[in-house]
Amino acid sequence: MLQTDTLHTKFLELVKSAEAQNGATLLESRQAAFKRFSNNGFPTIRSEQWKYSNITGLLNDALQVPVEPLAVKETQDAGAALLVKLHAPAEWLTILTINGKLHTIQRPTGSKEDNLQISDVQDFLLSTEDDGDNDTVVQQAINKPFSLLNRALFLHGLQLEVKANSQVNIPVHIIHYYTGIENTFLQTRLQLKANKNAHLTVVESFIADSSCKNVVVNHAAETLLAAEATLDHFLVQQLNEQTNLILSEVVRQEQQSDYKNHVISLPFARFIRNNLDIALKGTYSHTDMHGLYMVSPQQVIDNSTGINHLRPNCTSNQLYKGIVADKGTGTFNGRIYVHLDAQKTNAFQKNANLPLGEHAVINSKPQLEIYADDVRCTHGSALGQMNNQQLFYLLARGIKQEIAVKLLSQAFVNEVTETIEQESIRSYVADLVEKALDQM
Amino acid sequence: MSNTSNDILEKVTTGDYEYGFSTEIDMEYAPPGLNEETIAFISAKKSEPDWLLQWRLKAYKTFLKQQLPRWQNFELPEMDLQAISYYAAPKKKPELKSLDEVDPELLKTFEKLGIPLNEQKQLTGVAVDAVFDSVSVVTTFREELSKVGIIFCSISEAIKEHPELVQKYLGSVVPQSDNYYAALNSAVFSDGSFVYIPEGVRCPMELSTYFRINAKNSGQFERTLIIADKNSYVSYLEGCTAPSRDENQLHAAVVELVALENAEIKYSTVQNWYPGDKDGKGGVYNFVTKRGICLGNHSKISWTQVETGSAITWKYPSVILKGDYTSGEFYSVAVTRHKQVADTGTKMYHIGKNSKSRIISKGISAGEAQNAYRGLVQVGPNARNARNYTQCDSLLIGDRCGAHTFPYIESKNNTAQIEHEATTSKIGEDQIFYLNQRGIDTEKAVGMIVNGYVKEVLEKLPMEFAVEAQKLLAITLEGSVG
Repeated sequence: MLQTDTLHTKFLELVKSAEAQNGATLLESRQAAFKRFSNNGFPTIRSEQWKYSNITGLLNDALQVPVEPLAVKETQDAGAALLVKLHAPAEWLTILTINGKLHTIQRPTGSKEDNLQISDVQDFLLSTEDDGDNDTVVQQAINKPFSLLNRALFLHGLQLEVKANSQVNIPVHIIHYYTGIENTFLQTRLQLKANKNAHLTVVESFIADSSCKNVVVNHAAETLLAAEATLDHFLVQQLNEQTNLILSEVVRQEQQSDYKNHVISLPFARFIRNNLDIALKGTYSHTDMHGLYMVSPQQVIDNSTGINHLRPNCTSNQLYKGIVADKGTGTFNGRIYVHLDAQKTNAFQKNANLPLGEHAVINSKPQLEIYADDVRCTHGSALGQMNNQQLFYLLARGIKQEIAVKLLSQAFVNEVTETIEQESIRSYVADLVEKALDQM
Repeated sequence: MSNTSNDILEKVTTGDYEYGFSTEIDMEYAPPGLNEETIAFISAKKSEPDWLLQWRLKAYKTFLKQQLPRWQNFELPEMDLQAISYYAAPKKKPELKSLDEVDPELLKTFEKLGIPLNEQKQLTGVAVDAVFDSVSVVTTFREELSKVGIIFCSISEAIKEHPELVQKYLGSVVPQSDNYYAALNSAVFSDGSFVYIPEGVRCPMELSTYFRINAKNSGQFERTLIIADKNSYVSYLEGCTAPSRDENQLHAAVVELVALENAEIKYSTVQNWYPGDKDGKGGVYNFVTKRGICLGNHSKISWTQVETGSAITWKYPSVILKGDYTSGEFYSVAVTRHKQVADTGTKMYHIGKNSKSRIISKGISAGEAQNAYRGLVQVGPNARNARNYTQCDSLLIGDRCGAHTFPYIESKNNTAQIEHEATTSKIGEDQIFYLNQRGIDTEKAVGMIVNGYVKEVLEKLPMEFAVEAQKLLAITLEGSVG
């Protein structure tokens, strides 16, 4: 397994080469983050948060931590062709990154979208240790091991910011494309900021091609919604068995903001871990969290979500559904935390799992932690096979077993995909989900 | 919040503990401290056979290697295990031939607690084993029970008279190395009850043990072992109280249940240890390991608990569903107020095929108390057609208390069917309003709502206990709960 000492050597190299380019603030932030990371190192299955996912094999010795930007083969001209190959919807504003580095920005004809700023994240960080954000929950979230490691070691990143009182009318599609890298432990970063009363829709696709070998992507995202801002955020993970993803997203919401998050984890990556921590810091805010995880044989998908109600009159709604194939492991760990001040909270959480193979492993841990009394918090978790009666109904009408199973699986996942309001995004996701169902 | 509700809250947080008196009686103590000498002292005092002393010493060695758990949701207070006396017994050794020989002070104590030790005065037909600090004082109805072959006595006697049974099953469900407090208990356990129901016997009466901590600076480490042989049935009740003292007292018991083929064990607890005063001073730390195993096919174990006392309650009565077609149940009401902490729940291990489990947990949190449900439902790779249903609800009374739910669901078999649901809310204003409109005052309304809320669990208690439990709930939430 990767040792903290090895990482430290790499870190020193990185600091040396980055010193000249970056400002002192960023360097300090990197140093502080690394120091905190090395206090505890990588989590083990003894840690409550990582109880069901062992990462010792994942972070193998062969992995290298790049200390300077990776060379990209694809020329600037190849960008447009690549986007076609990757089935990027042409009517969206598309941002292509290759191995973490910004490569192409493609706007549909006639669109201006000058209220959206796209920049390199190296300029500044949304939150540093001393930016005055003293909320314990936010601090805990940004101080999780992989978030810290990302902050210390990231090479590339992207920042999107929408101007106040404006809307970006078309979806912004960020394609994180990984190609031609081997034995790499890559740290990439995304920062989203919706200013007051702004609206933005972001679709992130994680795509790896077959030339990747033994790659672990540690992707960290920080999202900020100012008052009255709305942000629809979709994460679609299409990776292959040689690529692993650890995703950590920290979201902060000011009053009357509305954040909708969809995490769609498709089969075939070896390992996916989704950390999602949301802090409702302003009154009358709302959050939707929708998740779909389709676990193929031998695959591990582990979802860890935390919704933190810190102020009164906020609502949250969560629905996570998983289909787990034989010998796959699907985990849902969701926590609703209601702070003493967060009266009139209404929080709902639901997790449902469908095991497809005999040795499908499913872990579910829905948690409520409530310190305010005038609240309504509910959670439910269910696990069970397909309804035999439904299956019989279909078989009796001459439908083949595989097709009947697929139909019922589709009905099971539709509950999640149907929550997508935007027609074009819904069909983009539904197509991918249908293909994945065929292959499971 | 209306004034009436505030008044009610005021009462809830100031209600007194009814069983807080202490008994003046000549006591014999082991010198405080935990070491091999203490263990030898306890063992010698109880004139135990050598195998048990060796067993205790082995447990002590295991204990030294154990570390305090750190995963809990509350702050575990520092406890000086060397300052506690591990053996405290009334000096006048009660010979168990007849009740007349029992120290009248002791009898008075139990009478005051409402425990019928005098068989003549018995109306309810409940056999009682009364445990006072470290020793069992008296066990009633023994002769009648022995007619059908049932053994009901203190575990100390069982060790002497039925060593083969004790040796076979002691530590078989809760191994010495299970956890910190189970290891400690295995090393220093003092007394407790032993029940053996022979094959094909349905126990004709409720068996009951009443635990009383009286001595200062002592801990109670009782050990209960219940074995239900093939095709037998037993219902067992347990009650507990302690005097009000400023120091915290430790209660670290181990309860083991073994159900063989087709047997059924029903274990009910009404726990009312001293909860400490309203500032959180004093009170009993109730750190208990309770576990049953459905060893034979078609066996059933059911836990019912009403938890109202203790400064900290930390226990998870569990069932290992080893046989096929076995069934485990857990019904719990946990009420916390003032600064009480309850972290309780259950674990259901599905190992055999076609096993079923059902969990109903109701938490009520008032004042500044923290009430947590923590549970595990685990389905092993060979446990085909396992079925679980879990429901845990929490009710909050007051804006400074907390209610938490930490369920773990782990399934390794696709034929499992598991459902879990939980809600947390306060008593609905519309519900109170509805009752108010029908001429029922707020206090009674709250009482009715809470009674309805816990009814599902109280119904599972044997009748004698259900009455007591209802009374206890009323006292505990006095003013707010009818």
